[in-house]
Amino acid sequence: MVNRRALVLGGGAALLAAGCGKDIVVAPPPAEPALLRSLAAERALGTTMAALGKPRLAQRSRERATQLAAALSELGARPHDAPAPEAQADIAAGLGRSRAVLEAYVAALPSLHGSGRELGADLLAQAAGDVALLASSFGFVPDDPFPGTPG
Amino acid sequence: MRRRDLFAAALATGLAAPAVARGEDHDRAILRSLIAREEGASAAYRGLRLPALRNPSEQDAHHVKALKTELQALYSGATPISPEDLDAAARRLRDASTGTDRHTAAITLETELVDAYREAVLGLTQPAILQAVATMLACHAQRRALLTADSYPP
Repeated sequence: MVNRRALVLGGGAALLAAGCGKDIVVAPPPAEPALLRSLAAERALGTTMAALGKPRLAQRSRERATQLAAALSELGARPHDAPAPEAQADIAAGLGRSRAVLEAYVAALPSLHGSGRELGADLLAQAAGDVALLASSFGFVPDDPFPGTPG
Repeated sequence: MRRRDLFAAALATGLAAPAVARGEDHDRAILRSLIAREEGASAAYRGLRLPALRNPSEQDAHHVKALKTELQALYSGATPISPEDLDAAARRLRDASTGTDRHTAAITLETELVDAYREAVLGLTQPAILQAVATMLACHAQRRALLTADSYPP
């Protein structure tokens, strides 16, 4: 028979042991703001791709934005809360917005689970491919081994 | 804090610990698998020139280093693979004798790496490792797109 004192002592030992392991556990951010950030970044990239004369890439960006908006609606969030920035027809803006969209997708992944995680991984891979094609079409061959590293 | 609260907290910790340990075991296995693929890719690309890509062997060496760092953070390590352990796609690239064969083999290798990283992203439990691995998924997706650029005109 285990008495209360033994239970409390055992519990204290368990707490101490838990404290000896990993010391920082950062809770992932909630999914809605992370997806809203991805949507805003994707809309910004899409308008810039269109302004830079890349209609096929812009269309694919719009398709990703549509998928993000649908995922947000399913979560009960409002996709219209993501701003739709104005187009910037210069390659520097295009490269900056390319970085921003990959960072947003990478940052969102820990808050996504199940089919949401699958969607996030697929959108990241597709966006990464498209921003590489955008950059290379202007003579910039991507060589960062870790594109999308949160800044 | 009452004894009952303390006991409840200790019990919750005890119940959660095995799940965390299982998650870390799972993450270790995923990292080891990715390290082997990246070591194979780095070896296969070494010394090869592919017009669409810039320093893929060096990039993959960076991936190996980063993945090993993540594995060490989980108190584990990985044994480097030997040339005989190269996966089939890496071996095909290493042994390709013409530019066309190299290009085709590189597309196959990058497609397999994208698939492997996608699976890893779906399975990883530790947020920091997940994000690091996601950037490597993005890198291989970029390479695949650059190698197949003719398939999607901008």
